[in-house]
Amino acid sequence: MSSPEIEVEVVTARPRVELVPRSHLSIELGHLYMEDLLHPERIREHFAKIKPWTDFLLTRHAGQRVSTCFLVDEYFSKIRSPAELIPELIEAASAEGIVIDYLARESGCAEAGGVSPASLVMARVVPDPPQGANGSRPPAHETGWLTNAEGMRTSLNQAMAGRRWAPPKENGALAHSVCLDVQLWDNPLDGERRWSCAFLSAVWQLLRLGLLRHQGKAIVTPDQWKGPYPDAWSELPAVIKLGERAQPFYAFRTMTVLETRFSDVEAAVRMILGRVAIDPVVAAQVRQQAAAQNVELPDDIVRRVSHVFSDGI
Amino acid sequence: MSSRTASEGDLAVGEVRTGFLSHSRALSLEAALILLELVPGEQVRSASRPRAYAVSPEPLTGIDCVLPSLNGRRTRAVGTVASRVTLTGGRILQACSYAEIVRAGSGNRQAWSHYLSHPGVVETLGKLNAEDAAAGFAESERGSRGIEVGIIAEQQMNGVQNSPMLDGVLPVRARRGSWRWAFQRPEKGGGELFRFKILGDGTRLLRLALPDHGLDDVIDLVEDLALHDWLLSTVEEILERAQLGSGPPAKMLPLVRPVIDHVLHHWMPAARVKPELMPLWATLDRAQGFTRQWDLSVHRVRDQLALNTVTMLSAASDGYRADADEPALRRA
Repeated sequence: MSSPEIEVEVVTARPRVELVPRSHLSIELGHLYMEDLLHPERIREHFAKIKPWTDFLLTRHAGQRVSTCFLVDEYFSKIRSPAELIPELIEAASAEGIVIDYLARESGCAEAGGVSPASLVMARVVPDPPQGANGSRPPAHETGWLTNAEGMRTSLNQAMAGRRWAPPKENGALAHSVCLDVQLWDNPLDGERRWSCAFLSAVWQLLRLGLLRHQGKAIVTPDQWKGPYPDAWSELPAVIKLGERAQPFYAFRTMTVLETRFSDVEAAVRMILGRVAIDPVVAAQVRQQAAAQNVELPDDIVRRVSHVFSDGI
Repeated sequence: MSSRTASEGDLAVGEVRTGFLSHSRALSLEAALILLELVPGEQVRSASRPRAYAVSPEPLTGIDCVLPSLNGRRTRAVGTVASRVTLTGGRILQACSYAEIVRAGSGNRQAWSHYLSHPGVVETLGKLNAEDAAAGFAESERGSRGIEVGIIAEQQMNGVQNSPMLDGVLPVRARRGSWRWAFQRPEKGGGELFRFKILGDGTRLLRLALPDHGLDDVIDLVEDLALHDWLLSTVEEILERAQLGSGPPAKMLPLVRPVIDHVLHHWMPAARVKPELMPLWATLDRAQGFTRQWDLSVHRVRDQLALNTVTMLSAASDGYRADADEPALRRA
């Protein structure tokens, strides 16, 4: 008599994560500091400079799902209220023939519906090892800084002790180094952690790529705002949908069109993104989703993020 | 953790540490889910049968160093070591750190994001001699370990032990169990291998070569072996301290009690092992006599307790008889 084939689940079930609908491309329609947002003509000028690039991108991706978004910088200062600013933004964009599908607020990258996307990303940062790192060093102290190099921080004490200067070395550099040292957060006087612009922008890219989950759930579910816009930004969800027929907010890849003055911050953003380990279950799910739709998707998440820097040329 | 298949790597190395959770009471499964949230936001997996078990998400540690080698090769490798921490029966904490070692397509180190898109994988920048690396890591004291996987596992374990959720009290003193293992997928025509060795310092070395098994299943097997080996060592350690059979019973009892309270009921060989890998458990058990020694120890504990009970009972009944005699004496 042959014995029956017994199948018993001995390992606990793999975690489930929410599948989010995705556009092929998410276009960010530039960025302005709150100070720039004081003048309606400045906003209009901004969209006029963006227009040729969005036209190019929309033509290039014709027939694909593309959504656009704009991030309001209200984390560092809140000079203008949503009630004032949002209609002005929509109008200025529309005057240049641009549709804003989604509007996000930068504070939403720090806190969104009781979850801190920034803290979740911070916990996923895996610093790159200098040559010789074999796991025996204790984990790097949480300094609020992230580097791509070794020997960046020679202290004044060391210099005064007469130690010879040694140049920093980029980890994994072939011949010459480009060393970056990026501040992720600081603690101003009130003690609450204040995330840096570069770090929040990295979180923003991960949100658009739909790669963040909290206990398996997506962090933002953009809906349309009903009624007049409020006076306080905190009364708005992290991301709101402006156009009824907008394609999904989340996308396989992102394109961010910016003025050249943001290029340093974005270099830092790319450097941070290159040190964030994505939840393997989410990573596998996106790969599957892309394969099912015949979308070519690089494994390396930094390569899913593109930038254009232009001052209106 | 992703389910890896046989084709993905030639070699995997890892270390397991086993010990009591430093907490005076058994931790509930709900509390374990919070304790083991090593990557905030990511889910802790758990099962309540056949016994409470929870497994953490896997934080990564970056390395760029030479590979293990028996013959002093210096092959540079870059990538990440993955770690997971498990809690069994609310009491037994295990940390397992591991990496799959594969040959890179290029001889140069890539952008770090490339390595992060393959978590738990280390790529060699030169030729990989899997045989030499496996032997250097998990067969001989003379080998150079290269990647300090054990230190990474210990750091993960210490991180959990230092959690403010725990009161820091060990239920009973016991040495940490330490296993170092290498797992190969034999090339076509290559032989299967199961080589086990105990070093002078108590470290267990295990080399495995098996076709057609996923790394996840092998990790489950090694963790289960390490857990039971540690249970056995712990019972033996306690019985030795109690001087079973030779010491005074009054001293023996409080020392043996923790075995009954905290250790005995955790013995559940191969509870989490894939059926296809069960024969390996049985093989090691036959050679090392885990179950035989365990049964022997358990019987010794029970015999001693029975003896002790008999002694106590007879002492009590002597006393009772003395009491019973008293009125008669009085009557007289």
